[in-house]
Amino acid sequence: MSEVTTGGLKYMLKMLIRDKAGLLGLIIVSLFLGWSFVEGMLEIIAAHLRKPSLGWVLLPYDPLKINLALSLKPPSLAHIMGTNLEGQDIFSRILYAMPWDAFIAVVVVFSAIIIGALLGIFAGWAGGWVDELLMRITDAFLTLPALILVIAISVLLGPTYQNTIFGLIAVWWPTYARFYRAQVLRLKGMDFVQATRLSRVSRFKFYYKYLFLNSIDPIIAYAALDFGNVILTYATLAFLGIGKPVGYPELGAMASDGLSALPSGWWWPVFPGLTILVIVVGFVLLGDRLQDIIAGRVTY
Amino acid sequence: MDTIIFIIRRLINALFTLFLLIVIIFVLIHIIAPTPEALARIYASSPHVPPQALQAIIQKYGLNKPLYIQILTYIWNLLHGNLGFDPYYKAPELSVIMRFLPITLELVIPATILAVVLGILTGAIAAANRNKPIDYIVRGVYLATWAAPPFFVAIILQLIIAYYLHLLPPYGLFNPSLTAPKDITPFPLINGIITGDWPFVISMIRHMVLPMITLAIISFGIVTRITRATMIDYMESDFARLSIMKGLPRRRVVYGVVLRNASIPIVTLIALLFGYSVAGAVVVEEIFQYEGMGYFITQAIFNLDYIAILGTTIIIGISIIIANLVADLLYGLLDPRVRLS
Amino acid sequence: MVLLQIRNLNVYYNTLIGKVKILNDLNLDVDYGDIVGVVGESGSGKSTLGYAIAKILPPNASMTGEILFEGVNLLNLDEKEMQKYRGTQIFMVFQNALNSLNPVKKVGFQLEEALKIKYQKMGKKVSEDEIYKEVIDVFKDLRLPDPEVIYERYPHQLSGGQIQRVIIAMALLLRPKLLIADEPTSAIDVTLQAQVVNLFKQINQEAKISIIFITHDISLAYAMSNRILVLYAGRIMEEGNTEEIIKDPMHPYTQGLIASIPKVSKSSGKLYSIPGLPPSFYTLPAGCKFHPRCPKVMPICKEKEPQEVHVNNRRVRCWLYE
Repeated sequence: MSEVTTGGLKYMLKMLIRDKAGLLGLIIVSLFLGWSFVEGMLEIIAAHLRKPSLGWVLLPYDPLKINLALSLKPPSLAHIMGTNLEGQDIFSRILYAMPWDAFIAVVVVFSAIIIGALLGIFAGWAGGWVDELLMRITDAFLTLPALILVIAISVLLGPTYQNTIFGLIAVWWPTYARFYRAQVLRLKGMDFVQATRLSRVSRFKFYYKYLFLNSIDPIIAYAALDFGNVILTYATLAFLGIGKPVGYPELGAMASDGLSALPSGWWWPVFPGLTILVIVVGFVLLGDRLQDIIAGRVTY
Repeated sequence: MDTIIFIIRRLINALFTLFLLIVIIFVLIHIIAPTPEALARIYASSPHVPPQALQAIIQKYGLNKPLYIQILTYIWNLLHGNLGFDPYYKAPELSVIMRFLPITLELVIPATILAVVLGILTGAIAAANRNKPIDYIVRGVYLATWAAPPFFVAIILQLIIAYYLHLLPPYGLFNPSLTAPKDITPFPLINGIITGDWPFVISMIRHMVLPMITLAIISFGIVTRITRATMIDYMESDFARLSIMKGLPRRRVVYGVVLRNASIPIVTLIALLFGYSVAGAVVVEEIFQYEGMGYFITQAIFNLDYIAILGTTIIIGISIIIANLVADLLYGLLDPRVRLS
Repeated sequence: MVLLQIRNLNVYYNTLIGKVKILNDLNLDVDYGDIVGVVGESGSGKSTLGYAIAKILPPNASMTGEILFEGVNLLNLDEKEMQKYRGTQIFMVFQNALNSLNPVKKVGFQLEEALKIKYQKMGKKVSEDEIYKEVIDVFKDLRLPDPEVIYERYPHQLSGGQIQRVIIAMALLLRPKLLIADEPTSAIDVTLQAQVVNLFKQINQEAKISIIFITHDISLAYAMSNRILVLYAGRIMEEGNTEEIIKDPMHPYTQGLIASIPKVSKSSGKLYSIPGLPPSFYTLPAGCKFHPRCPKVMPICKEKEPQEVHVNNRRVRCWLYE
């Protein structure tokens, strides 16, 4: 059987929409990122103007307003996900918290790609002991679960939001470094025959094509999965009390606070957890399908 | 003979990984705290320490010495079982960790085995019934468990099984009205079995089930996924086809030939799963108030206890490296190409 | 005497892009004692034909038509009944001999297993010793060095040529009526190819096994078979007696295949090759599927697909002969 041409964003999108699971992933991810962008902008403007109420104009309730009269109300039409001990609306708080998760996922994954690309290309190019050392270092990083390392780094740094981002980036680059190293090694094989015949300008184009253009598709597919991984790890860290943004709710932290209300106030920890589950499912479906599409594994 | 060389090579590799891990952590710390004073503040777990106290810490830990000396000192101490002195438990760090570690190992090792068994079973069933309803169900379930935050799974299980159905206790290590048997080994469950303290053993197992299932649920998905993918690949392989052509029933080809071959790459996942479970245990132990390593780490995070965090990270690193070695050995046992080359 | 009759066979693969037809209205008779060479470039559907006869197509495939094996339509058999045919009636060996044996089991075990299934089907009780002896005897017949040692080896410890013989040994132990061999010489050294070809001829003559020999190399088909079938884009382009086809190829595609055989005597000039590449099943051209590469293309070839016509003893699908 002959191959179907794969590649190109347009093609990937077309194939995604044809597939129910891929489409669902695309919808969840678009809603999450779209909402996070809008709400995030509002929160930035609100902080800038020192008018916090601007941050919740789109939300059903003020997510920070304490009203003990409404303490621990079960889900109802007025409060679809119930209220917490302080009487805050959980649904509003979840929507209010989302931009922080989206931001951390985007920053960590993109930084990891850039750092990984630079180190991986350098190691692959230099070869020899430099390459060997870098591979051993990535081995060492990948030996320990990311969560444990980030806990260690964030605690040493002080468990703030910014430091947690730093900690996540510090453990997140090795996978990408390995990917780009492999890409360079493949290129080096071809380099021998091809690039030597090319002029300086077209040689640059050749590298550009192999290191940048050709790696875009697999990187997008992997990064889509990886956004989900970062969100999951970050939520878990926040659950443990690491990296909560100051003055804002966070999904993992909400679940952790809600533990005290178990079992009667189950909605308090359950809904934030469920929200993360849905978001991550979206990213996994999207990334999984994209990988299938790129690999040409057309489903039967 | 070859097997011994193989093991020794893997061991040297593992030790080098551990060495690099320590170097990486120290380098990171020194990026964060470039001066001896800043370092001492981290050691003291508090930004507000009088200068004299800082100087004392610097002297005590040799923080003004060059980085490589500090690293070598740490490794030297590590080789002598010295991970520093825990300021909260007022005891050597290693002995504190060794009190909590066995409890977590008793939880994580069965959880890893359960996850592998669950993963292979579901993966094989999905592969054998590819694109039939059961395949979609399995894929849906592993997708959901893969994407679920560990605390969410733990909370849901605790709510349903412990609080609503009252099948198992919701939290704790064992029934507080019981007393733990005396320490013969560091493992309380094994002590209970040795001393024949059955009420204690049963209570401990009953408390263990929920956290163990939680850990297995959050980690088995990767085994399912890889079992399914590998088996589907192998079903299209020439050796599977030749087995069918010989006249072997397809069931025997799928569960005998194909699964047997697919199990080889799967054993390499054991270490990864063990790592997942250890990381998951940090959260899960917190929810089930299971006083093991995870609980200890959560406390250390709360206290910003630098020595405890560093020590636990190293110890977890060592246990994962051991898990890797076990996986390598199993790999050698299962694959004649490794065993005999 | 007809052993195998294929009637109007169509094979489809379901893909994300849609249903793709891999074999198109294929008819073929294989007599007892025949060696039929199936020739085509990669992607012509020649392996699919083998899989279809053995009913081991991937799960996304479906087929229509009839495959009559000694009068029984295999397409009507369920998996359990089909299993009775595999091994002792129909056996197939695959392109990549090196990957054809289970890597985690000893070679001897895998041959014994085949024999045990065979005797089980026949309802015969045979002792372990007899089975062992039978395997060793076949090894000796095939002139495998140190048969007792090879018996205890794992596949990765054998050379390509040895594995090829082990698989042929399996065929000899099973003694099927029909052996389908899919590019059996592609994984081995050219110097060994002649030996393997002779082995196949030998088992054809001595064990009375009919063979369908699938290859991309028409010269190999010439050396092996008494009939040749040329496949292109899942269609039979030409079919007939081997000698006649090689001497007087009718279809331009067959002519191209023969012209591209390297000849020792004619060392001058460049080797001929058919221009272009075989089409993808997703983007088959209109009209005759070969017309974009055909040196004798006519206007009608681009519009209508020719039907198979009988010319003397030959079947050919080309507008030149209609």
